[in-house]
Amino acid sequence: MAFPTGPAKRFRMSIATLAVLFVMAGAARAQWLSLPLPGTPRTPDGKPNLAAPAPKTPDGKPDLSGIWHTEDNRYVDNIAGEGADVPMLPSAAALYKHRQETLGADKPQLHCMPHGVPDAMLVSGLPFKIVQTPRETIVLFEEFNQYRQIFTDGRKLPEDPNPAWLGYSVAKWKGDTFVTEVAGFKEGTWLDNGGHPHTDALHLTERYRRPNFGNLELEVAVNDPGSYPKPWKSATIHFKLLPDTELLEHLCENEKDAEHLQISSGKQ
Amino acid sequence: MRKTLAVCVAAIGLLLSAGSAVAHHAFTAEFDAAKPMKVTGTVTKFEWTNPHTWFYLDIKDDDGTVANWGFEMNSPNQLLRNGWTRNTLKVGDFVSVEAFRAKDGSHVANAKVVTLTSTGQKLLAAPNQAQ
Repeated sequence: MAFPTGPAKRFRMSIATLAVLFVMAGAARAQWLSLPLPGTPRTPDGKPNLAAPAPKTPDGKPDLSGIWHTEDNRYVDNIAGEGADVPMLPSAAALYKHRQETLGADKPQLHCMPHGVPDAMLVSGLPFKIVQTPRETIVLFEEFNQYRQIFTDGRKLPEDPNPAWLGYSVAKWKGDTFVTEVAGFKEGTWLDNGGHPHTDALHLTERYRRPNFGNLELEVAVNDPGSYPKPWKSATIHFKLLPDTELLEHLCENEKDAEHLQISSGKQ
Repeated sequence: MRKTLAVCVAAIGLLLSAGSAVAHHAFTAEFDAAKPMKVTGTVTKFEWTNPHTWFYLDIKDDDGTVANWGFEMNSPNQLLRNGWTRNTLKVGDFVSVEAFRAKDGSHVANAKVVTLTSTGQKLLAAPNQAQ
């Protein structure tokens, strides 16, 4: 991409600035649902340039910060990929079958309890926000107003920690890939909307890449000898950036659905 | 400017409402995609709450009896991104709704589109599509 220099550059920049100011003048009246965020690369008409190069932090690493969501529901029900069959040990297979047959009637989210990892990033209509800092990367999940901390300060995973819904996470950069190790999970979370199960022996390795400003990719390696005869990998999950917007608070105030659910094993 | 914002919000809304998977529970566990309904009624209550927003309508039957129906919609978060606010419906407003009936036969449905009779404004209720 050729960069204009000198007077041409100044002219181009001032058009973009005017465009941003124009957007801001209107947005000042509106909610934070639509507002120009500083640091957003823009096309000459002032729109976010989703194809621009990925931003970098001062120490030269890709910056994963932004609000993300998956537009593609292929992985939501099954992170291994649509129709993919993950071999399971008998106890896990029975549990998965039950979850499928009852259409997720036991899903923790029905009672406003958390999603697991990576399921919490795959919530249709409710995005997440990554805030990358030098010593930790924070993931804020809009649904149920939850967060996850991924520590990059060199610490090791804790020994025998108190089990957690979102586990305990540490990470390091391998080139342009952000590689996390996650363990210390509380049994009973669902890996995806379809209900792939896990025990407290679960260990996940996530690999994140940001190929350009508007795209984020994730691959999850699942290792749980309590549920699966061998480790397996998710499909490559694609997230799209939601530019120029903000998360909204989300806290459960009612639980009316449960009484209307029709489940094959009979109502509670 | 407002038009640009409206286009942005609508575009995001279409993106979000196009998803078939549900954060919360399977549409098919509670509602019947084969039982659509299109009704007009008067708003008696509007609950702008998480994880599901609800509104209630007094609907007149063919024989003149009035029944009160509850309509479930998605989270305020999703509705806000589809042009709704907590003030969109007021008690006494006349609206028409396209919805899917609950499987258990109760006077409950999952709203898909709500049209405000007074302004003609059509709003997506960020429907949970049948899985």
